[in-house]
Amino acid sequence: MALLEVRDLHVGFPVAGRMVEVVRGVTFSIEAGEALGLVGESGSGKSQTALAILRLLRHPGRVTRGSVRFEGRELTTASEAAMRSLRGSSLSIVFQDALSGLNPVFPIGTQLTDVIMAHRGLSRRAARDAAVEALGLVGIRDAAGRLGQYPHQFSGGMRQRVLIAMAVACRPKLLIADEPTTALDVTVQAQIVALLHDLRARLGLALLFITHNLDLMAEICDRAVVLYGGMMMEDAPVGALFAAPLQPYSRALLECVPRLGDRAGSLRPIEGASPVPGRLGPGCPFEPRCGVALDRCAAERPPEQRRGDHRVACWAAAS
Amino acid sequence: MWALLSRLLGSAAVLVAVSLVLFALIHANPVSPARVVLGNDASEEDIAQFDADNGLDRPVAEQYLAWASRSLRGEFGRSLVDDTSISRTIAQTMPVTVELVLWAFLLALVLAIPLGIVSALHEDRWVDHLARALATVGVSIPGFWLGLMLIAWGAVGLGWFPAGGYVPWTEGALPHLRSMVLPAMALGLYYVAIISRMTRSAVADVMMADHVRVSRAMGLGRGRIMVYILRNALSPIVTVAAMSFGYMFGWALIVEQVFTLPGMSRALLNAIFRRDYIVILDVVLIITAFFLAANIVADLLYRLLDPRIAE
Ligand SMILES: Nc1ncnc2c1ncn2[C@@H]1O[C@H](COP(=O)(O)OP(=O)(O)OP(=O)(O)O)[C@@H](O)[C@H]1O
Ligand code: SF4
Ligand SMILES: [Mg+2]
Repeated sequence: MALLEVRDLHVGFPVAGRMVEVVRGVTFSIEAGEALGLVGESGSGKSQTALAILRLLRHPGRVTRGSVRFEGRELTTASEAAMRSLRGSSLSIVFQDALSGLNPVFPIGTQLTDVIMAHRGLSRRAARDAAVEALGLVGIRDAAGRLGQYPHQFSGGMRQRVLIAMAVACRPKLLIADEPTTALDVTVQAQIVALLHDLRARLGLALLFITHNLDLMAEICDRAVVLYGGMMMEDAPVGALFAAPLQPYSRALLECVPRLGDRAGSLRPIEGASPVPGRLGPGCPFEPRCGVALDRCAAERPPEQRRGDHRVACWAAAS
Repeated sequence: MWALLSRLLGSAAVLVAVSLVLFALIHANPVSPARVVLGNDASEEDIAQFDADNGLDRPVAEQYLAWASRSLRGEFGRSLVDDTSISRTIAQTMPVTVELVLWAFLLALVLAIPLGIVSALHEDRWVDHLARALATVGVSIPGFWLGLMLIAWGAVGLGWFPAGGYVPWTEGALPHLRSMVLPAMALGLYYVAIISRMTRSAVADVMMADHVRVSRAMGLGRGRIMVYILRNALSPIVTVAAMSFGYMFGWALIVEQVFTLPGMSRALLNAIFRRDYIVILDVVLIITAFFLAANIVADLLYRLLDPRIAE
């Protein structure tokens, strides 16, 4: 049994009386200790997938279909209290808003100990020690002395470290990292990725790493799921994906990885316009931009199929 | 510290400016207080004598300096008209005004803050619509009209409260408090609207903040998250509340008139009718000083509550 199993996940937002689906049947799983990358261009549904897993979708968005199982337990129908005790403890997350993710009017020590006390049943004193330990774990020196400081006294990279410390303080089995480096300087980005890599090894946590940046993804992930227009396009081991992407969108995405001289790690856009949720037809969302599209591509959704250790959704890749 | 100092200096400058303008306005009017004191059939000589006795024949600038130096020494001086001590007049009327403002302020806080919070928590549900409608009505009703409505409702209709007039503490706590209920409502309801609106928008803003999503994502309990939200929303609410407190001193004058309370408005109106300009000046400046002090307190609290500015 996988640690996390997402099956046929649909997320919709009611817009003008109609349900606009922004995640449209995504399926993947993560084994304990595994690092999975979730990649795709802006708006492809990566964040909504992550939020749906944690049941943190912003109202009125909701899961309209599908299932999320964590350690075998169904989350889409779990009670709010059950979700609360799961969040921040065995299933945790780091967001991209490193600069605004901490509460500006509480010392970081209070924020850390509050999370620890919510899950680990420790006294405030013991929770404080655990907070110091967690800060040490993410490489913040003189942690005890910094507990009383406020977020604005930390740099952006340091704030993200504090948020990571908060997310791993209760030893999660799965850490979701939603573009954890986007708000940070390029030099700091590498440090944060190295930190996640290190934490994964030390704490044995599984990672769902959401990113635009294929280089960063390749650095720490074992496997990658490519999303487009709210659908899974390809799911493959990182090495295999980079060496031989089977799906036309994955191929286009990888061709867009910058060559020498481009800004490190940034994506160059693919020809054509990004899909707009709610204005997608029944077929493959990539069809308007696909160079090898077939007649049936626009009309029928391509089925997912196994090709070696790849999972691919594409009519052209069908055998 | 510098900020506080500059606020204090700024406030002093405002007081000076207000006193100068008042002085100029009063002296632009040619009717001497002597007319009031000595009556219409006083001779020109009597009036000249009165003016000379009271220094009213001196150049305006000199009169101003004389008044200012006395005020700086903390003396109010004596009324031109009946020679009563102005400090006594103020000691008699100010407590009524201050008490009225305090009750109205308390009422505003007690109603507005829970209303604003509930409204933000149930954004776009019926409680929220109701609270917002009330707030819109509250800010658009003129104070004196609200006062009359309250009299019609609470005094004439229900008969629970006196329609006006003031019962001192010495005649019993309950009668005293009853005489303050309608005036406090008349003065406070506008600020219920103002403060509840601010509370609602401050809380609603914070609820959308990234750090609140993080708190949820870390599995904090509802109560703890609420504490986090309220603590963040506190600065703007406290600021608006403190500033409202200052404004209330101005509106209190009108409410006092509607309910015939013997507060500072009475001293002020008497002085205006009698051209007792030293009293006018002193009362207006005291009210201005309350207003300015409330603003300084608002500023200080804002700084204290926000650790990003506090250091
Ligand atoms: N509250 C909302 N109401 C309607 N649509 C929404 C809402 N929130 C997000 N969406 C839409 O859902 C789609 C997927 O958004 P999502 O945030 O998952 O994208 P993403 O892949 O994380 O992109 P990015 O890389 O920019 O973070 C987007 O088209 C977005 O416009
Ligand atoms: S299904 Fe058709 S349109 Fe979609 S990627 Fe494959 S070939 Fe292109
Ligand atoms: Mg996103």
